[in-house]
This record gives sequence, C-alpha cells and structure tokens, in this order.
Amino acid sequence: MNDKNPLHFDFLLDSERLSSSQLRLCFIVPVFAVLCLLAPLVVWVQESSQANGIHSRKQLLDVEIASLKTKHEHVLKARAEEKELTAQLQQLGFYRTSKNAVGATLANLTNCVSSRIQLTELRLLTQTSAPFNGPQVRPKNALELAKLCPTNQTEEVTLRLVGRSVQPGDNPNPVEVNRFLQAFQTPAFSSLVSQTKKPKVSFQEEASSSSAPLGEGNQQEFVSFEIIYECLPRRFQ
Amino acid sequence: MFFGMEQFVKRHVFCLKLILMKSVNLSPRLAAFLKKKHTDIVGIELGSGLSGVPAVRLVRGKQGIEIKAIGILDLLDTLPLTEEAASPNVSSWSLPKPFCAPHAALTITSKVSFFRHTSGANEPIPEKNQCLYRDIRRAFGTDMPELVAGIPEFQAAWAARLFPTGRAPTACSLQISQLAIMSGFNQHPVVKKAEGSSVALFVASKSTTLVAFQNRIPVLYREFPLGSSQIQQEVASKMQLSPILVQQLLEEDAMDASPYFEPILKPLLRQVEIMNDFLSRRRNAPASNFFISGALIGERYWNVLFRKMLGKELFFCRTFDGIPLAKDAIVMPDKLADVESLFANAAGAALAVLEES
Repeated sequence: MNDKNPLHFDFLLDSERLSSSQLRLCFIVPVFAVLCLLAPLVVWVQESSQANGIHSRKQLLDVEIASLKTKHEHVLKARAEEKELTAQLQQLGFYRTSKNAVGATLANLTNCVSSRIQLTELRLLTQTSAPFNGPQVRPKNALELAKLCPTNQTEEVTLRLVGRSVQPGDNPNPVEVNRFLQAFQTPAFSSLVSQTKKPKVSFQEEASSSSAPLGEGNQQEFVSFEIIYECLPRRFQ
Repeated sequence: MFFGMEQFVKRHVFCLKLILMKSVNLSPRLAAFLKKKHTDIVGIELGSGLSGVPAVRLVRGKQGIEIKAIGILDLLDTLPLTEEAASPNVSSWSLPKPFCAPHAALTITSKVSFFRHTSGANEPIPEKNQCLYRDIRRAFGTDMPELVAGIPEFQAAWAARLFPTGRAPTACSLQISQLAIMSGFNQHPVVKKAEGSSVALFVASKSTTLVAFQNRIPVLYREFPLGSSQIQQEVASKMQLSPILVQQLLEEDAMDASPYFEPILKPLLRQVEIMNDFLSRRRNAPASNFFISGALIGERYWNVLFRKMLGKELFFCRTFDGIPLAKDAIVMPDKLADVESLFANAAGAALAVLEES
C-alpha cells in the first residue's frame, strides 16, 4: 500500500523487478558476503603466518645465542682480565709517580755530618707496608687486590736518623747534633724533609765514656740521639 | 562489544542464507530496503491498439518533472489475449536510446483485465475461473466499497519478460490503464489544488470512465460504453458526412453541431449527474469540480451541454499540463497537442512511479 499514491496498483512481482545494471545486486551481495567472510580469514592467516615467522626467528636466535654463549663467557673473562691488568698497571703507575728521589739529597749528608757524629741508622719509613708482602698470598683478582691496597692518595714518610756524637764534658748542649739539625734546615734538604714541622729529637747519654779521642784532661761523653723527621708525603696520583 | 559481535555474526549468517538459499532473487524486504528512488522513468503502454507503442520518458529534475522523450515507438505490440498466445520465448524489446531510462513503468490496456468495486471483502472474482489472475484489492475506508483490480497472470508475465535484466530499461511497475490514467490525472496541477469532491471523465476511444473523487480518493468508479470514436461516428451519421470530414468541420468551428451532440452526450452526462447525486447523498460532499480529459471531439459542445444539464463548468485537463519539455527533449509527434491524449496512459504510469518516489 502506498501512502502517496493510492491509485498505484502494481502487479509486478518482486522476482520480476530486475536491475538494468550489468552487475546484478543478487550477484554482488553474495560475493560481498563471501568477501566479508574471507577477509577475517585472510587476516587471521596473515597474522598466524607472521606469528609463525616470529616464532621460528626466535628459535634461530635462541640457537645462535647458545652458540655464542661460550664466546661470550670468553669475552667476559678477557674483559675481567683486562680490567685486572689495567688496575695493576694503574697501580704501578701510581707507585712510579709516588716515588720520591732521595738519593742525591742524602748524598749531601756527607757534607754536614762532622767527624764527631756517627750515624748508626738511617731509615726512611713509610706509613703502610705492601699488603701482600710476607706470608700473605697476592690475590689474583684485581678487585681483591684493590681492596687490600692502600686507598689513600697520600702516604706519610718519616726519616729516622739514629746515631751518636761526642760531646765535651763541660758543655751540656749537644753542639754537634744541633749543628747537624741546622744543616737539615738548609735548602739542600728541602726536597726531603718538611721545613715547617719540627723534628722529634731525643738524646740519651751512654753509660761508658772515654777521653781518648779528645786528649788528656778533657772529659768527653757519648750521647746517642734519635731524630725523626717528617718527610714530604708520597702522592699516589 | 559482545553485542556488536553478535550483530556481525547475525549479518554474516544472513548473507550466508542469501548465498545458499536466495542466490537468484533477493528477499522482498531486502529488495524494498535497497529499492532506489526513481527519478528517470519511461512509461510504456502495452495493448494500446495503435500502430506502435506509446512511450513517454519523464525525469525528475531540479525544476520538477520534465518530458525527456515522447513518441510512438515502432515495436510489435502483440498483447496476448490467451494463455497459449503468451509464449515464454517472447523476444525482448530494445528501445531507442532517448527512451532508455533505467526503469520502465508499464501499463496494460487489456480486455481481460478488470477494475471495479466489490460488494465485500470475500466477493469471489469470476475471472479467476477462466485463468490465473494477479489481483489487488484496496479499500480506502470502512464506509467505502473495496476496489479490486486484476490482470491475467500470462499477460503480466509476458509484459515482465519484455525487458530482461542487464539492459535498460527494466520493468519497475506494471499497472492497468484505468488506474494509470487516474494516477496521471491526480498529478494534474489544477486537480492537485482542487479541494473537496470532484467528478472526472476520462474519455477513451471506445468508452468513458467516470470517477467520483473525495479528497483525491476514488469513491465511485463507473465505465460508460461511449468513447470518442463512437461519438464521432454518431455525429457523422447524423450529419450524413464522413467521420474525418466531421472532425475537420468541428476543428474549424464552421457550424453549430450542438443539436447533433446533445442526444449522444446526454446519457453520459446523466451518469455524471447521478455521480454528483451519489456524492451529495451518500458522502455528504457534492462535487465542486468537474474535470474531463482524453480524446475529445467537439470540446465546446461538451461544455455547453454540461452547463445546460448540470449548471456547472467543466474543466478540460490536458495530459501534459504542468509538465514542460526538457531542453534536449525528443518529441517524435509533429503536433503533440493534437495527439497528447494517446500518451495519457503511458504518462500516467510513469507519473505514478515518480510521485511514489
């Protein structure tokens, strides 16, 4: 029934309503429906093939990783070794740079030590000693070695001088030793000892005394002394 | 999202159903859904009795409906009147290019088709005893008698086979000429504006159809066995002249032929009087407009007699009033105004479809 034109009595059957187009709707619609069904299928197939590809690539990568594992371990070992050697070289470099040349300075001692003084001991003492000296086994690992090594950038050095001097009996002051100490204040020793800090000096009279070296009538005493100087520090940089 | 998925699956199932079960024809509901609005229609009258096939191509443009092509096509119009004559191997028609609209609205003028009122919804159709019929019943109100129209199945199938698929045009409508001409009449600009009840006379060559309209809905339909050719014959015999000469005399308006026309037209106009009386008494809506269209002989005598008998004016409706020619229109008849009534059925069929869109 038509609302607009009630007089339109249409006797044509729906099956007789045909399209003038070469492409018929009753052909297009099923084809479209089939395509609509196929499209998700195609997408699914594409996705699954992609997933399969990714899975196979993962397997290949796993095999490759397994084959590279030993090489990787070797590389890691070599890197650790290289690190250790580098640390050792660095440590050696530090020691090389921290070396204070004292030979030429100490050679000056012959000029300032009089005949009345006898040095029995001359020792340059460092604050610490090498950790693997003695019975301790040197660790192979650089990190372990680094832990044992001193970590300070500077190291205190002291100069210990022990000796004895002849002192006249009428003079209570140890003249020779004082002269010797004054000699250390000169620029010749400035590269060895700290000029600003006073040395620790201790004296001790020796029990036996002789008068032979100074002649008869002249009483003379032997005084042993110990002088400890603070030297310039060693710098590990 | 789940609901959407369900809809998606349902649609696919529907499409599968189409593929598996309806691969040839779409379901009617889907076809109706996909049905395009028609803007270009060629109206074709089958069984017109003329030497060719009247065809009118109408297009709906920005300015309204226009005539794109009009003419009597040189096609073999052998409307089958029996089931045996309607061969299923009928050769299809191929229209000239100007008439190749995408769709065709067909109208059949057939002796074996029918259109009438019924007394009730269950009234049997006697024609169905003869052969298979396609019939349509339509009631326009509870207080109005039902209208029934029918066409033999073999004629309808024959007409549908004339325009096969894959080539323009293809049939989009099949009507009977009585209704096609009424559809065309209802689209006339004056009729559209007319208010209240009206009586319309459609004068064909062998009969005249009288229809009483109330608000453009047919409430009474009658056919009177007096057509323009009979009127011409009667007048010619009374004047003792040849029918062709009578037509020329009437066109030239050389004499007063009203004494010859009055006894011939009086019974017909009496029917109009009865219809008006029906509208007044039964519908309580006396006709305020009287229209006439078709192939008229002696137009002025119709009006004079009508005024004399009913005291009303008769308005003459031309088939193509209010339908202009398109710029590139193909008009095959030399004088369209003289023969436009021949295209009334074809134009009515096309207009029925165009107005529906």
